[in-house]
Amino acid sequence: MTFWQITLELLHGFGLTCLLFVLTLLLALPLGLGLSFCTMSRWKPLRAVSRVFVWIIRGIPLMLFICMIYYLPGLLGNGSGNLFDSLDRYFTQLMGSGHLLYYGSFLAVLIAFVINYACYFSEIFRGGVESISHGQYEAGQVLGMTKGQIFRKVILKQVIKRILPPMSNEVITLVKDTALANVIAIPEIIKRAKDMAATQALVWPLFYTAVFYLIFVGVLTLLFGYAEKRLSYFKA
Amino acid sequence: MFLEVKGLTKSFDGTQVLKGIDFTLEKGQVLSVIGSSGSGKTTLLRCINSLETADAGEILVGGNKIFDAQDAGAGRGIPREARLSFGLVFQSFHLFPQYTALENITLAPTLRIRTLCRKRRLSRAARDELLQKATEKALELLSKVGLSDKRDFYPCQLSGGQQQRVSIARALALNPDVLCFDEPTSALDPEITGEVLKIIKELAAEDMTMIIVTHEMTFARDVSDKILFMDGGVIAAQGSPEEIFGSHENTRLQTFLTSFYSNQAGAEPV
Repeated sequence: MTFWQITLELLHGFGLTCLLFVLTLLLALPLGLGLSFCTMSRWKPLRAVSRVFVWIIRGIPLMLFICMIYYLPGLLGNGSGNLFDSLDRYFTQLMGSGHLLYYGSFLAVLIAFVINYACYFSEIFRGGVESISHGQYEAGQVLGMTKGQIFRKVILKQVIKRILPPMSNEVITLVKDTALANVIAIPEIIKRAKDMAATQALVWPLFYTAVFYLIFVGVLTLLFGYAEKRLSYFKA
Repeated sequence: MFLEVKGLTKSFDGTQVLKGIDFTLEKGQVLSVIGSSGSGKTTLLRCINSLETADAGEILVGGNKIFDAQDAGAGRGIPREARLSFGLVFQSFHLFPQYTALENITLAPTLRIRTLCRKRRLSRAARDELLQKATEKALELLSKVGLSDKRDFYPCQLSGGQQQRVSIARALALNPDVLCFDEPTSALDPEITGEVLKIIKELAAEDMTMIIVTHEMTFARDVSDKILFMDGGVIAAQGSPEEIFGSHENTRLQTFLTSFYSNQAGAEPV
């Protein structure tokens, strides 16, 4: 295999990495915000349940959690086999594909990632919201603003400014965590590089994958830096 | 009576902070509330401004019942319109940091106008006219507090005194019937308290009805029509500045004023 063929093969896998990254962000951010409201709820049962949930999810290694999501539905069911594996076969048949498609497994990984990251994000959101001085809410109240207006027009932007640094940390971690998808054989970039090592005795592509991550994380770092700069006009 | 406060009580975790507060105020009068820390001054102001819900009592403005603890206790909250009878200027300003001085003043009126227009299905032109008026009013208020040149400055670019003046303008933008101040100069350097007190004096001269919680005794004596001395959750003494700062028979008041003057010795404020 030439260098370009290998690059192309890895890029293929990296596309999947990016897809998992983008979908996780899109779904976990709103879910995390909702979850953070639950953990801050004045209604104690909701607060307790959501905090225990966050504790459990954050306490389980993501790799293990992926395996749980992938294998547990099958084990808990009537023993008719793995749900996500069946989905893989179903789609393969449906599309008439020559090789096994991984849509079902990808769905399992996505579910695990979204739940895991929603929990981390929710704690970042909670920290941000709780760090805003109570006076900001009271100022809005005495000016006759509704709770929703106070949150959207006064609090939110201050929260965003404050959580950008921890958020960029977490988002960068997410980029690298996508590599965990290879535990259930999703052909993302690491899986492809490992396969090359196994089948063609090529080890260097595995190290070469670092370049892809570095570039991606570099772009993200620039984006977060830009966002921080855009919000630097005020102090909060 | 323009403002009537009747039998206000408030407890926090079993500790009674307000033990039945009654007072009245005529339109255009200035009331100062003095007393040592923990006497309930700030809690009283917060109850009047609906930041705390009083356990018992009533508040009437211009004969309209703004607050009734029985209604509040029954789960009927304080309607937002009623809340707007009062404006409040905080000790530590609480300006919105991401908005300019002008935007801080126009934010709440703008939101009100937008909600109103949506409810009444007013045309876009009518709405824009109202918004334009709100901006003009805000600019007028900015010039009143002497900050026309700072309209596009963010709070972090303003001094403490300037921030407090913007927050006074922000409270005035909603035309409150009664404007309340919670120790408006306590967070400021002594040299710049004067610029804030000057604005309040100007408002008093324009017959703005005001309630001022303050530790500035000289200022309270100069600007007030009436003074409440609070002690341990009750009004221990009330009367005209002459009565309070003259020789009042209340011993607690005398002790308070004596200790106040001995601390202030040599540093007579404006």
